[in-house]
Amino acid sequence: MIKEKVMDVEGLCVSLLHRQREISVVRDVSFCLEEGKVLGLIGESGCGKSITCLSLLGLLEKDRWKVEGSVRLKGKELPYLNREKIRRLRGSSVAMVMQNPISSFNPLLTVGQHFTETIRTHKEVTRREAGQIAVEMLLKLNLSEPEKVMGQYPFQLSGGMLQRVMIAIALFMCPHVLIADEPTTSLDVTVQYQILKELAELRDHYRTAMLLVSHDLGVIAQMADEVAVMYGGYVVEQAPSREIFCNPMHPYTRGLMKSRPAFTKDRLNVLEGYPPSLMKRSRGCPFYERCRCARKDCLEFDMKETGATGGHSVRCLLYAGEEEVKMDACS
Amino acid sequence: MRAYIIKRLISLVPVVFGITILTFILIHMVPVDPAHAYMTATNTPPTERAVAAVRAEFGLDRPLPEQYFTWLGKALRLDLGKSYVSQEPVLEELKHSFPSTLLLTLAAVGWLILLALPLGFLSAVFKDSIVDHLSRAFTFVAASAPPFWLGFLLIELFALKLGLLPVMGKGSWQHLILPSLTLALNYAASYTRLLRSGILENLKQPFILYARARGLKQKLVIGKHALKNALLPVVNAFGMSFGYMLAGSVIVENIFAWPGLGRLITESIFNRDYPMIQGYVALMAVVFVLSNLLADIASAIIDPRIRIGDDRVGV
Amino acid sequence: MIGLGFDKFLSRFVKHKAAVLCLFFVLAVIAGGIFAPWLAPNDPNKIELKLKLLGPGGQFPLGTDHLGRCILSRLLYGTRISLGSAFLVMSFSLTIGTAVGIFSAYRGGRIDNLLMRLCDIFLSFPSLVLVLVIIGVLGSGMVNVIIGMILVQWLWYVRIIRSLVLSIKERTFVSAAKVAGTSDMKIIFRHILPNVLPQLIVLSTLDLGSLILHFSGYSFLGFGVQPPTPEWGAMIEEGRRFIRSAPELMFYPGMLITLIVISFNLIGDALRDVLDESVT
Repeated sequence: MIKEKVMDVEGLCVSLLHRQREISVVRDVSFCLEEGKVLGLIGESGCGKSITCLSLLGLLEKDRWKVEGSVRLKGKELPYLNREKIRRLRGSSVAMVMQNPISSFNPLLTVGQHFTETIRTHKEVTRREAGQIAVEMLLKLNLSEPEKVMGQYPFQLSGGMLQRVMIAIALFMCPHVLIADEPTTSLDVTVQYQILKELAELRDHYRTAMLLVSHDLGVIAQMADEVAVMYGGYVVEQAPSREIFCNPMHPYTRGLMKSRPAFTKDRLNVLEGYPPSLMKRSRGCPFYERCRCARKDCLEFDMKETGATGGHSVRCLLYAGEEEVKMDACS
Repeated sequence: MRAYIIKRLISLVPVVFGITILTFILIHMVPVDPAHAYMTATNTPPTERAVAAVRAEFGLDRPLPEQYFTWLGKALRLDLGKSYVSQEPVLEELKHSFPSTLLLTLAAVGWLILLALPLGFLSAVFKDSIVDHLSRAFTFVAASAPPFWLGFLLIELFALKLGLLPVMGKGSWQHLILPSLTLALNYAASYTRLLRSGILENLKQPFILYARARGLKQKLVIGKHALKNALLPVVNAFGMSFGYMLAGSVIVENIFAWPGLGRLITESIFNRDYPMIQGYVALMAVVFVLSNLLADIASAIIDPRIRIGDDRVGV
Repeated sequence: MIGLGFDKFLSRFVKHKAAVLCLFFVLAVIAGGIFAPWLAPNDPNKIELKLKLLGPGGQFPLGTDHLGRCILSRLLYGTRISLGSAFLVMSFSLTIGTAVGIFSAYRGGRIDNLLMRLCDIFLSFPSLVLVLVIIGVLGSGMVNVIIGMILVQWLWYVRIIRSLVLSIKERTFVSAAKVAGTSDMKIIFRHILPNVLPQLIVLSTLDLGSLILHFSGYSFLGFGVQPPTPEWGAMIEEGRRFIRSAPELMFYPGMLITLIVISFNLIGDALRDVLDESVT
């Protein structure tokens, strides 16, 4: 089967306008989402993952954020400047599953009201028909007694159930792209597993392209076909899932892999330090301060891609030019 | 829901007792004792025998707790005693004056909704626009100016200069406009602020972001999601404000010569008509409890978390 | 202010231009009240019926009232009572409230419980009704109005100060002082009071405005000052009968009250902003 590019993001830059200053939050991010495939976006909190998601949907307020770059959906540029057009695309062509299901639902409205208002925004149906569509979708998500769930309020449901509802709401229009921002972070581990399994089944069923954001390597490893690692607003490394787990190149990616708990008695390697503050970001590689292989010229590095072979791209001076680097030397 | 209402009643009813007991204690603690006040009010010379007779008649020679419970027992049977001045039953006097004060207050509530709802809403949606600046200027002045002065400004403008409305008194519906507006202005200012900050606060909530991510129209996002949540504190506060407005009518009735409770209580205070004062306080306390209870029920209707309680369903 | 020197506090406060303007206005009005005997062009109570309801100009900069008294002079002298009474109510209820609030929070136990029940009952009930009852019992007159207002007001401060103290009490420097054997009195005056003071200042500034409004309201109803004493609320009341012929009689005192209350509100808001900035 030929892979089809569904969403193509090129040179996405987002900056926060704050007191006459522009603070770069997302810098030169490019990736594409393919039909039925999952791109995993991984990174620590504050690295720009969520902002990337919101900017794809045109959800950043124009007076506070500056967004540049090109996002094409099925070959057509997304109409970010036209409020009405982009609104119609949200929830129908590009759907989103939010981070925290419990606070994402309006506490005063029933689950059914959330569902039907969304359906009736995108489809011309009666309230009753909308209700039927909703019940069918909830059944697909293995929610028992969907009619009862529809009449319940968010606080009466568990996080896992709400997350299923949210996924059902996201998928009823068979969107081209599903953006899932940390969909399982706030859930119990067992529920997490079920939700991921259901997401995978639905992806196969609807052939939806998916952007899965997480800081959890386990989730990414289980779900993603391709992985992009974000740090300080940059995608520092991107490769097919298997490749990146077997052969991580960027020192940050390697640090991430090492800090992952495994079933061994070895001492856990923790990435030391914290991501740089948004305000302080300056020139050079943002990972410089925490990097074990940092060199002086890293501070002058322009963060262009330095190595891209076989779909594996990385932005690090270690891979600039022909210079041979010993992988183990600095790990 | 029923358990919730009972719970609220349990916390509200002590207010009635607290307030009436306090009034009772105050009346019997001060240098001018009720018997003397009665003599003054009825223009009888306070001879020793007359005072003793009055004391015996009103049971003023009994111990204080006993007097209170006698009063309370009668009050529960709707017997609030007789006014010292008019010799009419207090209940009749209150019944006579209360409806017009209630009318005034209800009309003021109408103004409150008419002013605060659109102003608060618009100034939140169009934050930092001209509308917002104007509405904030309005709230600042309306919250800081003495209500009686605002009342006279309104009379000056609408009744005297423009001749649109009657100056004072009670009669047609036109008579109601200025007094109720005067009564409402102060509260309209604070409710505009409350609603504005509530909507702005709610717009920052994750459920608004999610509503927008689902492609809902802006109208729906603000009008349904943000507004409904912002109304909750407004409704809650309103239960309190209703009593305050009813009490605040004292001043407004004075300005507009509106025959209501306010004028009754002002006269009673000047005459030290203690049964009237006691009855007025009891009435206010009951109204206070009822309006708070209504507000509680209203917020339970809006907020399912109160209505249904926190019985979470497991996964 | 908490960890904020006076210089720094001042430089931040000055940024709120409207508040600075208001502060100068308030100070000017206060000065006008204090120096009224020197500033007032005429005797505020001198009745001269021949000179009644004069327009502004000449001997009477703002004209005369229905009894031929100088309006400007009455406004100046009125400041003493209108502002003075508010300050009086404020300082008394604040002092009592602070003392009781600190005691209640510091000791806890049965008294604390009883006080909080009292607060629950009386603070939810319209204060206007309570003050009216107190006036009704004590009789009308300025002193009784002030007493009534204090009796209603102090409980507010008990509740607020109690919660402020409770939050500070648990902080480490207080525990440290306790462990070190510092006496309760010393802890209260050295550690607790200085820390609640900034919030108290903000609070009392904001409340001053509403106290002025309330006091003028009672005067307007005729419970407060008795004629011929000049007071702003009472002046409005006296002027009401001349609303058709001389609306300015009411206009000046009402405007003055409004401006003063707006000023106190703006100053209070600015102080709160400065304080919030220094905390976060």
